[in-house]
Amino acid sequence: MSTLSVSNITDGTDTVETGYVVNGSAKAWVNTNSGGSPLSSLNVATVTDNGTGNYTINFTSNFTIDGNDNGVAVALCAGNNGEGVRCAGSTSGTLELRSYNASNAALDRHVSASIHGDLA
Amino acid sequence: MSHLWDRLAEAKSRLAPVQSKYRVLFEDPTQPDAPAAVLVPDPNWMAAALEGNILPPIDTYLRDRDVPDGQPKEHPYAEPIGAMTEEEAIEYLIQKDIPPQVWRDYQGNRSVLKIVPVELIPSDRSFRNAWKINQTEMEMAA
Repeated sequence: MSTLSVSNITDGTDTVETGYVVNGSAKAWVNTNSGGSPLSSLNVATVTDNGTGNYTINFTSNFTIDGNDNGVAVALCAGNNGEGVRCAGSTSGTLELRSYNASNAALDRHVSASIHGDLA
Repeated sequence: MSHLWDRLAEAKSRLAPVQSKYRVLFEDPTQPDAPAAVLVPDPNWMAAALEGNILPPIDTYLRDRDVPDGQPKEHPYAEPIGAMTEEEAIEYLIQKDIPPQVWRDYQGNRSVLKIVPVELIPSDRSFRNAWKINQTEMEMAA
């Protein structure tokens, strides 16, 4: 494998530090089916199906998180017709997700999540 | 030693995902009213486990549980272990991702953890929140 070692990246007009890009990339992501089974992912060891619309993502390489649960940022993909997905909590090694319908009742559906933050 | 995340990213680009033929059912004794949970191995993780020299020893995760948040963790830079069989990989995941009160500390008579073939997980999820581990057979019971 070749390694490209550069301090900055530019398109000829704008220049950013390489670290800006590396630190901004997702350190974990997952796409599951409606039963919680991971279909595609990065840095995910398992997904726990806890019940209807209730999933726990377990990371392989944990994140750094402080005592106030700060440190992990999550982007979620919601569904159609008012369906949605929300983050119900996180630790350095897990992310709790809940999916629901337009009436806010738990609903099984596929879930996509992109997790950003500093790795442990 | 490279960071675990770097090894995972490299492995993902090189290894074909492996769908496990097993699932792990468990009930948390501290939440008796909760339905049975199903632990599903990630295909990329399973590929890395079967390949070897990517994942850290399970002991490092167990020790890291006692390390306060914000402090350096051991598992990202630990020397990776060799290839596992699928059965060994499932045992690894049980210790890593299921609470110790299920697989280590539980003293009761009820069976709270079972490794089952994928086919035994019901495809009908109509009564998902009523799932419990069948105590007489290797099946789910609603």
